Amino acid sequence: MPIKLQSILGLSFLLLGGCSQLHHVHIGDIDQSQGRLTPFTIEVNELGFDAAKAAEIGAGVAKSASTSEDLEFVALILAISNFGPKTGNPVYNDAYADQVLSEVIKVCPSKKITGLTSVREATNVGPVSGEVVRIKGYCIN
Amino acid sequence: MKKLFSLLMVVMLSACTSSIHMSQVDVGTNSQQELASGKVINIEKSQKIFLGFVYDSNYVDQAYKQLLQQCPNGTSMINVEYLTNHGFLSWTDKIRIKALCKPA
Repeated sequence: MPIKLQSILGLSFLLLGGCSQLHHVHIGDIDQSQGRLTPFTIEVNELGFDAAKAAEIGAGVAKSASTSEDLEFVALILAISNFGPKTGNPVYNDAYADQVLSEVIKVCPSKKITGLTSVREATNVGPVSGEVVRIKGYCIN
Repeated sequence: MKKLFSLLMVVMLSACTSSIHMSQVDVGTNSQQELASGKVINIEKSQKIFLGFVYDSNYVDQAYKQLLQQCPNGTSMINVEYLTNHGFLSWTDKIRIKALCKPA
């Protein structure tokens, strides 16, 4: 029973411990003089996964010393195989934000846009995350 | 068998990860005609980096020059994306520009 309670508590902390992280924001010119403004939001996201961090966590909770050592070695291999600067967790698709410009062009029937805000953010739950690009703006009617 | 499976998992997980650092869209002067009939161009420039030795960021200047060449009348909307493709002890920095050129 205590083990079950610990598992539930651990899972609850993992789920409730998810937190958002802002990486970058850019606000463009806003023109409120040409007509009524209607807000719009375009959001694309991709699953982020830090495999090296997951292996490190596995090494920390492994019951036997040999398993722990193996997982630490796996974490090292993964770290040197995924070398380079990272914003949030790595993703396995580098084209997930390719469509934002065409979506922004299509979104306003009036074809008049102002006040674009570009946000790069993430929602993290341990080694897993949702990597997000969000564009907010206004159509001028 | 278990070790072989683990090795395969490691190889699969270490393949082709990326990180998008920034993706921003900017709009210039509002022109209904430009958004409706402008031509969208794509520019991508990259730089391979080994062991973190970086001496310049000329690829960004090259992308900018190409943008000026491809949109001689300027742009009415632009999307700049900066990302990194990770690799074995190396990585590739990329800049992707998508722009809506102003018609002549």
